[in-house]
Amino acid sequence: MLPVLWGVSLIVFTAIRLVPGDVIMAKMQGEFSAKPEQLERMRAELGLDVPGYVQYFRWIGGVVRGDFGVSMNTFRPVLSEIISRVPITAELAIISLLFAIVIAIPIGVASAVYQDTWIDYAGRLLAMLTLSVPSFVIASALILFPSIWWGYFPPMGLAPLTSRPLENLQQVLPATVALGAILAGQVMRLTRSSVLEVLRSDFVRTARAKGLSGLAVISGHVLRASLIPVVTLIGSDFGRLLGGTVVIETIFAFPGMGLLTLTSIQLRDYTQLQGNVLFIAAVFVLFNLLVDLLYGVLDPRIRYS
Amino acid sequence: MSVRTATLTDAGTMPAVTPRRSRQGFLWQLQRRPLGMLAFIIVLGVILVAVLADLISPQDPYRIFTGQTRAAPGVVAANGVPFLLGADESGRDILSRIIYGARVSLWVGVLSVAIGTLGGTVVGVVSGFRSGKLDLVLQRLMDSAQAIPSLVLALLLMAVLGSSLTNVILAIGIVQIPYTNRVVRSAVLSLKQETYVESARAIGCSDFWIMSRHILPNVVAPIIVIGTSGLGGAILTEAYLSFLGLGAPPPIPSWGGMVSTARTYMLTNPQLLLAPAVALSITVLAWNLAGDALRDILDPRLRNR
Repeated sequence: MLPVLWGVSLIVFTAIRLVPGDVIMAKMQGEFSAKPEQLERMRAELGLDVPGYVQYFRWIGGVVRGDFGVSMNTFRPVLSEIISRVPITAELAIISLLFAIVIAIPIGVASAVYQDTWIDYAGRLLAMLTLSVPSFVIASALILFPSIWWGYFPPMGLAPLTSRPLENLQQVLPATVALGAILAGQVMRLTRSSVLEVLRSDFVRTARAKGLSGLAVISGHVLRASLIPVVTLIGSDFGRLLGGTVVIETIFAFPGMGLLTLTSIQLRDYTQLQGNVLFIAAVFVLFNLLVDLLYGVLDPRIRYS
Repeated sequence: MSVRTATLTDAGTMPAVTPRRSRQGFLWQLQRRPLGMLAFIIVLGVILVAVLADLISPQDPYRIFTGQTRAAPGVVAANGVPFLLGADESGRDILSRIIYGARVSLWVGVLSVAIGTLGGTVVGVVSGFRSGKLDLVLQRLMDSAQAIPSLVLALLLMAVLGSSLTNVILAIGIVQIPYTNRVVRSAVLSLKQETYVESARAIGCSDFWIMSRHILPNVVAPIIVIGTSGLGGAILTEAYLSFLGLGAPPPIPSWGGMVSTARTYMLTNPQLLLAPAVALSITVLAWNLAGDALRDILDPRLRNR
């Protein structure tokens, strides 16, 4: 886990230093009055006047102590900026995840149980559609069609979840549908193939032979065994969900991690961008660790090995 | 022809797939998958549109008709040619821009997948075959790259490389390398145990010879499958990058970019958004379905999964 994050820090740091132009240039766009010596002083203030490797060790040394540095754009601590942006992104990600699981797993199971019937075809086509239609198209459609058909618009300006939860959910739900679609498609496909495989195994035949009903076999025997690869997928696709928030938060103008990442790329805000990517990668790695631990719960055979 | 019909009816009545039948031609296999067939036809159609863009497009996609911005479908342009799908926010013919957009997305898709699969194959084969320290370092690097959401990594690379069509191709290609690497490396690890590799080494073949003559031909099938399935994803990533304003620079017709600018006029002129969105979604859907069908045909073990 730590070597991966260290690698991420190296990749991000070197990539960002190769960006032509820096935050000073991005900020000074259009301002011709700035003298070269003024620019130099500003670079020195931001610690950009020393060689790259010195900058890296200063930065990584701080990160180890929990200090991610100061945003080169807002001059606020990177970590507090991240923490202020995390709630909305977390809300989006969690609801999308729930949406994907609640919708996709039953469809995937139905698709497998009724293999090669119209239910299966409809399920597979739906899965393929969610994988193929870009989230910004889904999001636009979810805004466009209700407004044309019913004259409905979600309330403007993001309402806080704590004080006005209903309004907040009205705004967040279309975003989560668009965000969760890709994950839902992947989960549907994998659930289907995994259930199909388990359905052919001996213990399912035994369960059937001793007279269990179809539903009992599916819920008690098949589902648990076939969920392991699905859980792995959800773990590894969580990163894609976090990446997807860049697009979704831009469309809906939600002030979350994704929008922050995009703006820090646009403004060449090195420290903020480094902090964001490292944070996102850490969440991703943690999520995968959690999934590994979940295996033991789902499959007792894995627990002690 | 009569022989072929006989085989087809045979296949309908005989339950098991014999190895002999699976060896029959690619087209014959495709014929049994109507959805895959349809997908291949659409893909061929899009390729044809992209190649023949100069011949079939009614207008120059860059030509601006001032005073005819957001003209409705059917309105006749100043040069006497009707806007079949209307004009966009700058007064350019939408249909022509969609036709040239097919060229851009196909170009980006094919070249970036070529970079991604080639890079991933080289890393995967070398890393899997050599193992040891080199393998360790390369795989840690790949793990780290995969811990960053691919869209964020692509955005980061676009910021580093600067906005141009070539750089879009490079960025999307590089992002795919870790995924191809993982599949190829695991295939190589199992191939390494084969007796023919051992005997090749016993008669004194060099590592390079074994890799290129004995290992590589055996990983071609999975590489083709990854490539085809990756194409839809690459086209999608291009659309996301353009949508976020970090893709191909503005005058170049890109479906993602068209959707992005059309969002401003979404409620008054929905055709501006719907036309590129539909073109994009259908193309990606067709590539994904074609990739699935190809995987089924090339890898019979995965059939029915």
